[in-house]
Amino acid sequence: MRIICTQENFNKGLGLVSHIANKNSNLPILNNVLLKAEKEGLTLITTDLEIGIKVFVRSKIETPGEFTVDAKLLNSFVSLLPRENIEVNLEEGNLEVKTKNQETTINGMEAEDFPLIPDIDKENEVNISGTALRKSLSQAIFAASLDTSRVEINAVNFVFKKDELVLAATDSYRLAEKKLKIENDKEANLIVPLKTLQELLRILGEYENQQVKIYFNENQIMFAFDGVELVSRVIDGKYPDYKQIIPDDFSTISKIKVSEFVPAIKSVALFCKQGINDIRFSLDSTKNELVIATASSSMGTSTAKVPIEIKGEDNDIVFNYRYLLDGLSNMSSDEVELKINNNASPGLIQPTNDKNYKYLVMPIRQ
Amino acid sequence: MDNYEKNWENALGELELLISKANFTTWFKNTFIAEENDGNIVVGVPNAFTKVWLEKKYDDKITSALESVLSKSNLQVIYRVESKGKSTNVSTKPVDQGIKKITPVYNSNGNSEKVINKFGLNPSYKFNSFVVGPGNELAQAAAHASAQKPGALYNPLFIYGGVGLGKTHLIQSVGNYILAKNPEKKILYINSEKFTNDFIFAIKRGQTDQFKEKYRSVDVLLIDDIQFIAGKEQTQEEFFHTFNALHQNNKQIIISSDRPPKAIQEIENRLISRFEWGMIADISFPDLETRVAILQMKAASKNYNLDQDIIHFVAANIQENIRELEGALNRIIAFHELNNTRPTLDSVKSILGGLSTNPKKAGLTSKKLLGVVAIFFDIHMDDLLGASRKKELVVPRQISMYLMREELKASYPNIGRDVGKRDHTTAMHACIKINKMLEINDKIKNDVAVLRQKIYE
Repeated sequence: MRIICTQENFNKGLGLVSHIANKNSNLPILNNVLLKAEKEGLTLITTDLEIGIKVFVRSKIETPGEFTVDAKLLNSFVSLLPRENIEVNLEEGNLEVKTKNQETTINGMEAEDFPLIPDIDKENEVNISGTALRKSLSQAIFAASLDTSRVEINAVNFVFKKDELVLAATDSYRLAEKKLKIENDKEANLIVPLKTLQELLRILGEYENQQVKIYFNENQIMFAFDGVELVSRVIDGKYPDYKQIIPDDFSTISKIKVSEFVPAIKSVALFCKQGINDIRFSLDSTKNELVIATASSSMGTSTAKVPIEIKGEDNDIVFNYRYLLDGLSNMSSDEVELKINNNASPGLIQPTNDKNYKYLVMPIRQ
Repeated sequence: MDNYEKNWENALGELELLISKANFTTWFKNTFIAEENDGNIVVGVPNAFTKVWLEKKYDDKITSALESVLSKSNLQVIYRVESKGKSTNVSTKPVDQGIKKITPVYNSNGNSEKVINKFGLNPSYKFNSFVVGPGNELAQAAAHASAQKPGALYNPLFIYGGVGLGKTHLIQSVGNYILAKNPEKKILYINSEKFTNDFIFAIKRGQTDQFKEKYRSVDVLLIDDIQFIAGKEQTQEEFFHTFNALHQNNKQIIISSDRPPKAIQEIENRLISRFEWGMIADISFPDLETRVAILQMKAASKNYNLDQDIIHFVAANIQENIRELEGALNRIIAFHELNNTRPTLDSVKSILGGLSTNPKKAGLTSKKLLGVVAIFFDIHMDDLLGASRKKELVVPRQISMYLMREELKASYPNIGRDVGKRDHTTAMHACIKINKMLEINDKIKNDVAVLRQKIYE
C-alpha cells in the first residue's frame, strides 16, 4: 500500500471518523481506523459495532492495500503535521507516515480482522437537504432521553410518510416534534439511536449545503453525502404513542416575545429550588400580562412581569424552567405561542412562524 | 433449556476453541438458533454487523460445528437479525408445550410441584383463583389496579398480613396478569432474602454492575417478605437505590411483608417513608364465608367433590391460616383416595381430630408463651412477671394475659397465678383492655398477630 495525500484532506477525514473509535476492551481492533486504498482513492472506516462511518479521502493511490492503526493516535499525529503532502506506506506490517522533514512508523493490526460494515440495499432512498435535516434534528434531539437503559427513547423517532418526515424525541417529561417537507413516497417508522444522530450532527456540521441521502431497512439506516457514509442499527422496539398526549384544544393561548421571555425566566430561575427548577407562570387575560415567579424558594423570591397577548381564560401553571429554556433556544423565531389548559395538563410552545414544530412540556404538579 | 439452546450451547463450545476469546465474546454474544427445519438452520444475531461478520468470516466454522453437534451433513446456515425475546413462533412452541404438559400434573394430584417460569412466577397464582373477602378486599383491589396500569396508580404497593393469608398469591397474580397481557414486559419476582444473597454474591464476585443492571432494568419488581432485610444495612442501601431508580422511571414496585412498614424493626427511616409513599393495604384473617369459598375453589381445582356440610365443618374449625386450610383439604383427599371411600362428615371429623391434637398446639404452655413474649419485647422474664408498673412492662404483661386467655383458654384465676401471682380481676382487666386496644392501636394489633405465630413456632 502506498498513498500520497494532502495533510488537509487526511486530517479532515480522520477527524470525522476517529470519534467513534472507542476503547473497546473486548475487541481492541475497534480502537483502530481501517485505511483502505483502492484505485478510486482512500477510504477511512471506523465502527463501534452499532455505528459505522466511512469517509472517502481524495488522494493519489500508487499501490492499493489496506491496514488498521489506532485511530485517535493517527488523528492526533496527522493534525500536528505541517500543511504539505503526506506519504503513507505499508512497510513490514507497520504503517509508515512520511513528510518532508519527518518519518514515523506506527504499529497496527491486519485489516483482515477489522469488522465489516454491513451493506444496505438502496431500495428505500430518501433525499433531503442537509441544512434542513441538521436544523430539524437539532430541534428534536435535545428532548431525547439520556438514559441509556431506556433504548427506545434514548433515540429519535423517524416517521417517513408521503412527502413528509416527522422527527420526534421525548424523555417523558417533554417532547419535541418536527415535521419536515421532503419528496418521498416511502412509509416507515424507525427509532434511530441518539448516539448515531449526535455523530451525524457533528459530521454534518463540517459540511455545507449537502444533499443527504437516507437509506433504510428494518434493521439499519444509512446517511450518505459527499463521500461520507454513516451506517447505524435502528432500535428494535415501539416508539411511545406520543400523539395522544398532545392536547387538541387549549383554554389559554398567548403570544410572547422570546427576547423578553428568556431573560425573565433566567433571572427568576436563580431563586428557585435547585434540582426541582420549578417556576410559576400566571397568565392574566385582562391585564395581558404574564407573571413569572419562583414557585418554591430557598434563596429568596422573585417575580417578573412580561407583557403578552392572551386569548382565553386566566391560567396558572408550574414548569421546570430548564425544559422551557431548552425549547425556547431551539425555536428560531422572535415570537412564540404558549398554549395551556390547566396546571395538570401539558403546555405547548410553538414558534409563531412555524406550525411544523411543536414542543410539549409536562407541568410540575404542586 | 430447550433443544435449540442446548444445541447452540454445544456448537458454541466447539467454536470457542477455534476463535480467539475477544472475537468469540464480541461476535457470539446474544446469538441463538431461531429456527431449524431439515437442512436449514436460522441463527438469530443481534445486529447487522454481527450478521455480515458471521456470514463472511465464520460461516464455515459455524456450519461444521453445527453439523457435528447435530450429526448431520450439508447443513445450510442462514443468519437473521433478530432479538431473542421475540423470536418466531416456531422457537417458542416447545416452551409452551412444556408448561402445558406439567400443569395438569399439578392439578390432578394436588402436589405443589411448582412450575416456576423464568421470572420467578408460579403461573398457577392468578387473580381469578384468588378468593376475595372482607379481609383482603382492599389489597386485592389495589393489586388488580396496579396490574392493569403498572406504575401509574399505586407505586409502590405495600401489602402486609400474617403467614399463609395470600400475600404471595396476590403479588404473583400481578406478575402473571401483566405477563399475560404483555409478554415482553420484564417482571422480577423475588423474596428479599434472594435479593440479599444476590447482592452479597455480586459483591464477592465484583459484579455489582450486573447486579444493578438486573434489578434496575425490570418493568415490574415484586419483592416478597421484605422484613428479612431488617438489620442488613448494605442490602437496604442497595435496595433503596434500586427502589429509587425504578420508581423514578415509573416502574411498578410491589412489596409484601408480614407487618406494616413502621413495625419492621431495624430498617432505615428513608426506606420506611418510601414504603409508605404509595399505597399500603393489609390482608387479615379470612372470615367464615371466605374460608368456605376458598375451600370450594381449592377442591374444584383439584377436581374433588366435597359436600357442603364437610366444607363448612372444615372452614369452621380451621380459622387462621389458608395454608392450614389447604393442608386439611389435602389430608381429607389423600385419606379417602387411599381408602377409596367417599368422605363423610364423620370420617372428616376423625381426620381433623388429629389436627386439633396438633403436637404444635398441644405443646404450648403458659411458661413457653411468657418466654416468647419476653423475648419478643426484649424484656426480662422477672420484669414481665414482677410488680413494676412501667408502661413498657405493663403492655407486654397484658398481652401475655390476653394470649393465655385466647390461645390456652386458661381461666382468669390461673392466668393471674401464672403471671406473678396476680388477682383474677387483673387478668380480666388485661383481656378487656387488649381487646379494646386491638381495635384502635395498629401496633398492638400487629404485635399480637406476630406473637400468635411465634408462640407456635
